[in-house]
Amino acid sequence: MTAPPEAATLRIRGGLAGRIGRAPLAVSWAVVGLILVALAWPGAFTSLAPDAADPAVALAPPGGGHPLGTDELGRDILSRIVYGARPSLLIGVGSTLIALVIGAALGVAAATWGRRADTVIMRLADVLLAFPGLLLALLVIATLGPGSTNSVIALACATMPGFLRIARSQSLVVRRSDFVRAAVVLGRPPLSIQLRHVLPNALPPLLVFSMINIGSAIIAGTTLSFLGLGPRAPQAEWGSMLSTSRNYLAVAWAPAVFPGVAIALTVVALNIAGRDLQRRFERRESVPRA
Amino acid sequence: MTVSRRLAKPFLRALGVLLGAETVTFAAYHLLPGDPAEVSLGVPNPSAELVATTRHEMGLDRPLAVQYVVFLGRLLRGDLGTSYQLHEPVTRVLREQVWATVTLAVAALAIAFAVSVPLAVATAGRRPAMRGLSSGGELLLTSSPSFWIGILLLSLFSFRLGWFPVISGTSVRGLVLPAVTLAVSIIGVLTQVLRDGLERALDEPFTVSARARGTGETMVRLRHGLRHALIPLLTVSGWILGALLGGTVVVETVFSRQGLGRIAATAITSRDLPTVTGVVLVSALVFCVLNLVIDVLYRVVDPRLRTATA
Repeated sequence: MTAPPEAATLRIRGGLAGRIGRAPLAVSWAVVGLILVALAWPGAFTSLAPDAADPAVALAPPGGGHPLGTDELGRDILSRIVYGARPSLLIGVGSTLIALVIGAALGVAAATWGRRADTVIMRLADVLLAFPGLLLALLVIATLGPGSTNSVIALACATMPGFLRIARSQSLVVRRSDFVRAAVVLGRPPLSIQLRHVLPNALPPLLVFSMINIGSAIIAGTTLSFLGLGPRAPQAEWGSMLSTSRNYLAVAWAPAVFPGVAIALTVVALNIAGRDLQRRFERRESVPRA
Repeated sequence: MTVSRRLAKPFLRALGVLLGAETVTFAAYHLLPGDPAEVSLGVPNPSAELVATTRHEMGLDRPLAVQYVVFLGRLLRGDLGTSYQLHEPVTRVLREQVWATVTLAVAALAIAFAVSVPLAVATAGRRPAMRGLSSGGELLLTSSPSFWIGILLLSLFSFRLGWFPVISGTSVRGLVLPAVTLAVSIIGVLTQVLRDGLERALDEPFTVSARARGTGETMVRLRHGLRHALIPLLTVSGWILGALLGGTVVVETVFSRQGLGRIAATAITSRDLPTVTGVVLVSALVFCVLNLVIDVLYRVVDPRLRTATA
């Protein structure tokens, strides 16, 4: 017996589209895995030290003992990219985590502490949102001074309002649900309701948002380093590597290309993985509601 | 509600936000580590006497509340203080630099639209392969830091091919690469939003009826679809503005171009706070005013909103 022709073509097309759709997804999760390995154990990718200078091979093109070439002091670019993953990702990931914690706390507080608290907190968020793009981060660094820690604080200030808004709107929804009303009726203290009932249920969308936010936070972090406001000189960092490469553009292309590829690859992978998480989460969410 | 009362609310809110922004910058000056008097002197280990005199001259020995009122009063008169580094009034520095930045931002916006609109019109609702290619490219663009794109363009077009000057002065030729770099940072989002809006509009009954009347596909997309794609575009225009205003800092640094962004970047490294706060406050002001305009434009573009709020 033969299957109806429409069903057959449909199945083939669906399978093909599925495979095309799944390949970048698998690659992205693999890249995320590789980044985690580089963070935990950079020695796995290269035997060369990131700050071993060899002036004899300065600005060498890729090939030979240096797969991605060398920089102006003859340091291996691959090694500097691998060891530079930690400081480069620290600013993006660290600032996102801080923004998540503070944003979630303030958002839940705004939604559950009554109208006056809500007004104060939301006006505060409005003020922070009045500074366009990177400018709030730049203002914070101008007062605190440059450096990794201050960059983390600066970016956390700039991204926090987004987390706050999501936490607040999510908590407002959760607050009206029956189990929170039941907890109120049972006479649970307000703080315990916020921590045990509202926060855990407001958290999943916040986590998905942080996964997506990490990508742009990494870009912002490397941008601060590029402007000379991040980690100090000998430290290998993707943004500052690109900043130095500008002085040698006429003679070498490798130092200007590969650190940027590392940033773009990381952010693309995190974006696709983040969207995948979001899809899975939404699918799970939609089941009990239906 | 009358029109004036409906407009008064967002206006008052914007004023409140600006006052908050001014308070944040005041706090940046006075509540955090580092004595402004010592920083403004710019000499290592100044004598206590000199610091005291400077503090008095700058009014730093007065109570904080008085300083706050003085600071606000000066701002209202358009006085942003004196740059520590350039020893010039900050307002004059800003006036000299603002046009270079405005030119850059406007040119970038024009380029971004010139690329995004045809791209969105051509790819909306088309075969998955074509759409996938386009959205893959957009993801790559939004995932690449603009300073890197600037360095790549500089390396290729200025150093290898020699088409554009390495240091962009004030010439039109020098404007091309910086404007393209800044445009690239918003093209990804712009195209995505336009295409989503178009696809939604192409599913609407009015598109079907336009097609039934025998209107050509291109005409349907341009006359009926694009108009509706403008509304979601307004929603992200605040983000686009922020990206442009913040992006000029990076782009002007990469291309050694004059402008507010470069002034801000150098002022941060030399801890020239009046200049930094001047640039930041002016950007916040522009940002708030333009967001207010967008708020009003919403009602103009989308008649449905007018009846909904009345």
